[in-house]
Amino acid sequence: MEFLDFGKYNFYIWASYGLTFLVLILNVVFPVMAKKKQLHRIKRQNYLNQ
Amino acid sequence: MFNAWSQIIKRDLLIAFRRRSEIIHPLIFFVMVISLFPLAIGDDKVLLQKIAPAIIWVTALLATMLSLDNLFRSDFEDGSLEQMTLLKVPLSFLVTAKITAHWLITGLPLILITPLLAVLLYLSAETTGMLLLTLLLGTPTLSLIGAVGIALTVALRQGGVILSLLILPLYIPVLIFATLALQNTVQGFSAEAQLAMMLAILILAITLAPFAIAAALKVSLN
Amino acid sequence: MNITQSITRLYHQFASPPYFYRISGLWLPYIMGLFILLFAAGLYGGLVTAPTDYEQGEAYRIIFVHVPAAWMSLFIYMVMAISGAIGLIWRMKLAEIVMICSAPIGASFTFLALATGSIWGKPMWNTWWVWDARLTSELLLLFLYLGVMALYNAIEDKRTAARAVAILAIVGVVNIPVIHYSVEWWNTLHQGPTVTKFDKPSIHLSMLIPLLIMAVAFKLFYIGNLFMRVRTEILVREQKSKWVKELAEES
Repeated sequence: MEFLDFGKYNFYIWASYGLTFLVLILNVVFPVMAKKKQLHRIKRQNYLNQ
Repeated sequence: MFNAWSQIIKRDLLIAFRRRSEIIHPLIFFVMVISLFPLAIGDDKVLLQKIAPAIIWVTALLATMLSLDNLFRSDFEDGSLEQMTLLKVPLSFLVTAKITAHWLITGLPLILITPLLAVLLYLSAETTGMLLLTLLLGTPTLSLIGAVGIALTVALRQGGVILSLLILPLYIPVLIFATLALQNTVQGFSAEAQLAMMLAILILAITLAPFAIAAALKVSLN
Repeated sequence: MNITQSITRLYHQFASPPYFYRISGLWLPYIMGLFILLFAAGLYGGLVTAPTDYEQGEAYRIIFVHVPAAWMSLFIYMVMAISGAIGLIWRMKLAEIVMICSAPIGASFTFLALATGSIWGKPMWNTWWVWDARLTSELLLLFLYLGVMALYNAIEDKRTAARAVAILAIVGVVNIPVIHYSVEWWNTLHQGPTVTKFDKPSIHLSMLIPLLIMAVAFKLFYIGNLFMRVRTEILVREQKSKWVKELAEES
């Protein structure tokens, strides 16, 4: 994987791409968690209303 | 229709005249904050001359923002705002009356006291003249844009905090063109292009803002 | 059925939350799958096949995420303002939901554009920040996004909140060209280093292609992420309705 070594710019490039990954992943994780929580909340409501 | 318009202005001016603190407080804020800068920097004539346009303009932005609460709050709370929406005259038209009164109460005194402050900051007569011109073109725009913000936040509890977040980004073009015009004047260049842009922004604001303000007021009255 | 009737029927169908929930659920895996493919292709193109830049060495590779992120920040704001206008004029619930769900995604891309632009500045001009035209515009755009999100959270009734935010978004969208133009003017008169270099048309094809691939990949991500967020928001807003209750039971 030598072609992925960018010399003195390594830190900056990997920081930028790493940040990109982070932003994308967090944007997926939060809505997925929120949806699970919401479905769970509705189920509980259903159960309580029976 | 124009009867309602002038009545609103007269009423607002009368109220402001009775509650003179409405006029005085933003003015005192303006003078005091500007005075802070020489105190913080020291009596550096060259430096003060250089940053004077920026200081005066930024402080004008902040002073205008502080004064916006007066625009709709009391009418909102005593129900007269709701009355205005029920009139046959379009709300967007009536809103221009309120903003005109607001500018007369806030923007105009600011402009009138600026020559005094220009002296404090060692500005030349020519630069001061240009400064007054930029304020004349800019402060009505600040009132108009600010009115959009206050119309959106008047019903909120923490409205004041959000207000600055909403309108400061929108104020920035006015700030940029005003200070560019002044820098050009200081360096001996023509400021025509920047002044033309300020006029264009003002015209844009006069034509579009009233509709946004009226729509926002109707939402806030909900 | 004549044209008007079919258009009305399409409108009601499309604007109906349960219909959108079902259709978006079907499309979502394909959209995200395609995104992953294109993203990987863009990464490969940007990090491996694109040649070293004559002037900037390897550091320029940051543009493959910085520029698409900046493009997305503007694109999403447009979508937000347009869906806001649709929601305001036709009182369409789904348009309101699309508008408000777009805001955090747009803000994320704006933040990414700022952060990557800042990171790029360090090896290039030895400074963590530079007030060039694009970065300054992006900063102001971030404030506009934050304002939208703050206003929405400050108003309790969410349908009223959506109307207020729609007005704000429309006012913001009118201001974006004004802000952009004034910042460019401001920047050219205060000459400084510029992150906007790679917008010039003289960009080499081997650099242009990964850039465009990443741009499309980011767009797909936006659509997929939007679907995810809109579906959750629909579940929140429609929680009292029968179809949602049944759906929750099945999950």
